Amino acid sequence: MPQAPTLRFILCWLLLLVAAPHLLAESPELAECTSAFYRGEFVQAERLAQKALRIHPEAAPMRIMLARAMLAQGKFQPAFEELRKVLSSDPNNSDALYYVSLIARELSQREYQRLLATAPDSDRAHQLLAEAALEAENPSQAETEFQSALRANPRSADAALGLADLKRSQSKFDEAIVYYTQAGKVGPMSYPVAYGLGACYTYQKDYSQAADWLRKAVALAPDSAAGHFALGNALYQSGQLDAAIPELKRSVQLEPRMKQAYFLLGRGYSKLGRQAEAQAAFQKLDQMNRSEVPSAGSKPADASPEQELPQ
Amino acid sequence: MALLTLSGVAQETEEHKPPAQQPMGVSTGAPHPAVKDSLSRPITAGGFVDGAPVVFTDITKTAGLDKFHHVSGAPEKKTILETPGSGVALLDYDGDGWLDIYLLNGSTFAALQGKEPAPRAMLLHNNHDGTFSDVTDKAGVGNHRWGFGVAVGDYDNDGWPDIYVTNFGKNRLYHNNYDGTFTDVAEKAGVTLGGWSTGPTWGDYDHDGQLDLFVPGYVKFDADHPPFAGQGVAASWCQFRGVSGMCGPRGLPGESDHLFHNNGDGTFTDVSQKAGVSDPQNYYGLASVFIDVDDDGWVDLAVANDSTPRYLYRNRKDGTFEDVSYVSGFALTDAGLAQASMGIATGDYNRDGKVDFCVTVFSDDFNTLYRNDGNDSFSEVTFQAGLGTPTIPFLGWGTGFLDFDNDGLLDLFTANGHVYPWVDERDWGTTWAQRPLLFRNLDGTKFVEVPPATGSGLADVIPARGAAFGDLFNDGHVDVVLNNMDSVPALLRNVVKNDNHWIAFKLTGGSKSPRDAVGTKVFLTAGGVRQRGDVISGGSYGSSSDQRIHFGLGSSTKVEKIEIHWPSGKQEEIRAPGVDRIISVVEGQGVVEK
Repeated sequence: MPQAPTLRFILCWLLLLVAAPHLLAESPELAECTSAFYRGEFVQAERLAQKALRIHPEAAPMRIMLARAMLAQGKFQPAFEELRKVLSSDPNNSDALYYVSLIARELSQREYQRLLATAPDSDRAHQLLAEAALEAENPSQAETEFQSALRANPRSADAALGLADLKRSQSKFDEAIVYYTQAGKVGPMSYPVAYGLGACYTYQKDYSQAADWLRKAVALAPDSAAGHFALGNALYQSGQLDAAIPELKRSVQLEPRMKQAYFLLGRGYSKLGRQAEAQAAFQKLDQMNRSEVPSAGSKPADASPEQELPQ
Repeated sequence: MALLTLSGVAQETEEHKPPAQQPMGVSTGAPHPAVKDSLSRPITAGGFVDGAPVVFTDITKTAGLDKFHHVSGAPEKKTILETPGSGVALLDYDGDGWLDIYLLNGSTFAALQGKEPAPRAMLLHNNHDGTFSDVTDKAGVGNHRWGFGVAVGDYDNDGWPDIYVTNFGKNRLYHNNYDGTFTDVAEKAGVTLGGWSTGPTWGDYDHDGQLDLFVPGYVKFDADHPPFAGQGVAASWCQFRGVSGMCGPRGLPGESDHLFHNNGDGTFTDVSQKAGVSDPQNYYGLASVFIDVDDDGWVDLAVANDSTPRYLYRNRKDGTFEDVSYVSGFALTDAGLAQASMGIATGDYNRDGKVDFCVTVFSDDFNTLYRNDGNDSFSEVTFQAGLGTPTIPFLGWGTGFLDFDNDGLLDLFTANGHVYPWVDERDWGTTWAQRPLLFRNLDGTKFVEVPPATGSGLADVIPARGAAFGDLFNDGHVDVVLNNMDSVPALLRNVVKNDNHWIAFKLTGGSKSPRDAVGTKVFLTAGGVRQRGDVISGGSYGSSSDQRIHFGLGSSTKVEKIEIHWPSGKQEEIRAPGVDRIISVVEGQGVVEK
């Protein structure tokens, strides 16, 4: 009968159309494109990919191949655009994400270089180099660059703050305080500066100064769990338990998993003779600690990040 | 996209939220910058000082201790079983008045499977001439299991010290037959267990005059199916500073702890749950010590747990304990963080009559000094005391308070060594083998590191674990023995030369106290200053030290007062016939001729 073959024919074509991108994934076109790429014929690979994508624009592997060919020719922005198209329909495409990260790295390097070429001794250039050095775990180089940034612009709050944070991470609190103070003077008082000063004075056991600065910090950032905890800690350490408790309570409201705050709350309540509240705080802490240790036969616990008073 | 924020400013950390610490198998501080010496060596394997006064001399070879070689799995340390290492005990097993040495050994997976002989522990007899002889086989204390901890205690009050050994697998209770031999009676006594036991401690917690036994448990480990990343354990628990390594202890199930009550007839009863010390949370116990923290005459119990809160149990005097870990402050640091605790030092470093603690921890973290404020409350005073920053790069194990220079102030020693051999390939400022640390107590509030003189015992770069302290040569100087991972041990002889005086007490309990006087407190006043000493069993890391109490007297040539608080509750005052000697005291009889 004439209709049945026609229907079957149409169905086959429909199936082919649906399956085409997947077929194309392993298609001779992709193989040819890949082969050209690995021969170093990037222009040819780009041309082949463009041609295939005109017919099957949904073919993610081909579009990634196109991006790679463009990348190899240094066409970063067009490559990025192609990868963005892939990610818009498949946000978890690991290949696309990987190449995007390569592009990001390359483009940021180029921006660094452009900035350095344009204004090699600018505070901004040195600031960026300092941050790059920090990322590369090279604190001595970072310090050199931060210092250069400050020499270029003594009023650079960012550079002073960066240097202060670095010193604080090295437990050089006296020096950190100098730079935090400098950062606070050249610009409006900011949370990082106030918090940093508070943290330094806390480590130096100057709880009065610590509390003053941390009060400023939480006034600037009322939703900062770390800020409220740090203030609560400073007040606790100086024996101002009644004042410490509301701050610690606020910190656990903002961050319910803040074990340290429960610990200090419990100790604070206990020293104030409020044993029931102390027990409740310790119980909460104990529950959180217990949940991190799997029992035999149970599924392994997921990694749950510890929280700590930032250095 | 955020990835193309071309301003170049690194994504700011959200300081408004507490920054998350990178999940790892070990709970420790955040990565710290590397500390190096003038030759750019990591400080853990450097920082030696030419011409500094020599405090300890390493006499391992001349003493004959190099006959012993510790073994623990393979050098790569792919599993947690292979990394903690073993303890060491100092005891006078033959009653000749000289301390002997008992070194525990680890083992191998092949030995566990019966494919090769297991390494053995070693008992070394003190020959009184600076040398030691291997008497293990005659004594019958080879253990031949994967040994971790040891505690010495005369559990049957026959006047001869017995030895409890903890293993991965069955533990041993070596009863001293007082003829130079021991018999393992663990099965008969009911203290075998069979999981992974660590640093035990003896103490008479119920005042019946018999030593009871506490045994912490570490991790549930299946040697046939060790944990590896992705095989039942999330990868995040199998890495340190982002580098893959052995898994745990976090992410692995823990072993519970056990308290065994001495029935007085050679057997013990597990009273862990009844006493309230069974560790239902299954934290990762590594060290423990019975000691009277609140000075009510009843020993309390401290437990160092790895990567989980520490325990402090207050003795309720009714056979049970109250968990005061959190409320006392001992569980966590002042900032509320759990630490990877390995060893416990006990001593009254500030001479206020109350015993204090110092706990050794992982690298990128500081050893933690707890000052006893009374009323079951401790303050963490690490940084004020000067013990914070210097200890951060080191990974500490065995530790103890000792008066190394006999000036009357307790100083602090820690044995160090890493658990990841590959840290040597990283520029993190820490190393696999590390030098020990000795901190001199300046004034009862502050410590300062004793410079490691080049070529001296403090400059030994070794992967140390267990540490025991005692006057091995009866010369009035406290020496140190270290049990080192995959290596020979280290015998550090104290060679300090000064004019300071000393006195030591060998105590024997009466009918209502443990015969070896474990649990006894001695308060000695000299030069107007009152010091405290406790007879303990255990503590440090998996080790047991000299149970004679040693006091440095500084320039004092007389002792004004000696108060002895026996476990029975009896308190006596005795007079010392002189200084610079070891005095034997028997409860109820005073000073006796040895």
